[in-house]
Amino acid sequence: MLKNNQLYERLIDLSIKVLEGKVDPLDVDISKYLDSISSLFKKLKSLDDIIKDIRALYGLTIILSCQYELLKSRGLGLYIEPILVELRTQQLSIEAIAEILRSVWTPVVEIEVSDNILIEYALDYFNKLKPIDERKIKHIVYELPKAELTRDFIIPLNIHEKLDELYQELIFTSKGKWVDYYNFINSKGNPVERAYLLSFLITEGRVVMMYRRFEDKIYVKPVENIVVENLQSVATWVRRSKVEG
Amino acid sequence: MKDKLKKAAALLLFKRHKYPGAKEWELRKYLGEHYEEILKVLEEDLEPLGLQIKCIEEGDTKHYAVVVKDEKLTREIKTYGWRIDEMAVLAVSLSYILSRGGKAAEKDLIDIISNKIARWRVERAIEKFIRLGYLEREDDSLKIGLRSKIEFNLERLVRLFIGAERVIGTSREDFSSRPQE
Repeated sequence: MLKNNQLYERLIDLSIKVLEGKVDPLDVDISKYLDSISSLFKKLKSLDDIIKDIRALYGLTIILSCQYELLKSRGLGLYIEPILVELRTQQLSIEAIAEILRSVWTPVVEIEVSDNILIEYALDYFNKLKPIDERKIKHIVYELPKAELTRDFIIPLNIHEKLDELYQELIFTSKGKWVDYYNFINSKGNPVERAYLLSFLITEGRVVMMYRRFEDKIYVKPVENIVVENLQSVATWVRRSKVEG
Repeated sequence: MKDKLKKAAALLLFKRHKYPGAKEWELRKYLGEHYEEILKVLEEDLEPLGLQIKCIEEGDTKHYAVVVKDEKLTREIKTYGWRIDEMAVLAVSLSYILSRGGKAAEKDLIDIISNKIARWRVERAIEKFIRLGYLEREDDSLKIGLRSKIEFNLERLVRLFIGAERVIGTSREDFSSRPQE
């Protein structure tokens, strides 16, 4: 008896093989596939199971679409058995195969062209183009002082309080305007710790970040009056729902 | 009308994209809603030159391109610059993909053809046909490209390949270059 996981894996694997053309779509028994999914659906427990169920369903749509395409090609008189192609490939000479292709070929007529206007544009572009050395974008990588790099950084236990502190500080400093990211993290304390904490605020959506390309500078700004919900993953949510019944 | 005819000829004949010819929306944009009537007039002009406008539908889009009208004409002109074994690779590829319902595993296809043509040559030819738009790669599978749908009579290709229709024999000398194996 197969476990749920194994059965899901088999169904997904089958649909991938159909998609890759390794299995004939018409060989798949759709009603059996559906029965398997519906029987498993009643036993869904974890988030992992739900994801697998969705993947298996998506696999079913793939199989159906491949079946549709195959039936369409058969209807158009384009159908031949794959084994017949293999046999004929062995049987026919290379010349004969090439000749078959040539006898059904009506090549497309295409002209590659240019004109004087395009040449003028190109020349103008070339004349205005600066030498490569001058065009290179000089990207300055921010470097922390050595002393800062060697300083130990311990993730604070009261991280939530620290986050709130930093958030309030940013509100006070920015006064609703964009603040230079590096100036802010270097203004006081340990810049590594401040950068670390700031990344959490950005992830939570309490701080927004912007890169001004022409200045090559990064700015941050607090988002005020934001309702910060306790962020939780879907997995946590499923687990909690189970515990809460 | 004359201007629109010139525009239509330019749209269909001048190489502008990777795909040949023009899409329906391009023709509608440059020629107006009655683009089909303009194409009909253009086709009348092209006919004495042995050319015709071919339309194929792919998904929701119609593609138009100018092709050689008579397949016999391509028999007489023997300078395609393609190797005979490359043509064989394309012929088997198209037939095999059709037999697999429009999509086939690239590895299986290469295995079949490599019985007759060196594997590296088959792989190189397939890459070339993907680049030219005759085949399309989708993950590990191959599909028939837009260019093949426009240029080849796929239904007849299948009939000829399985031997349901006969093709006049040819010799290796008919081709512009010879295989090196």
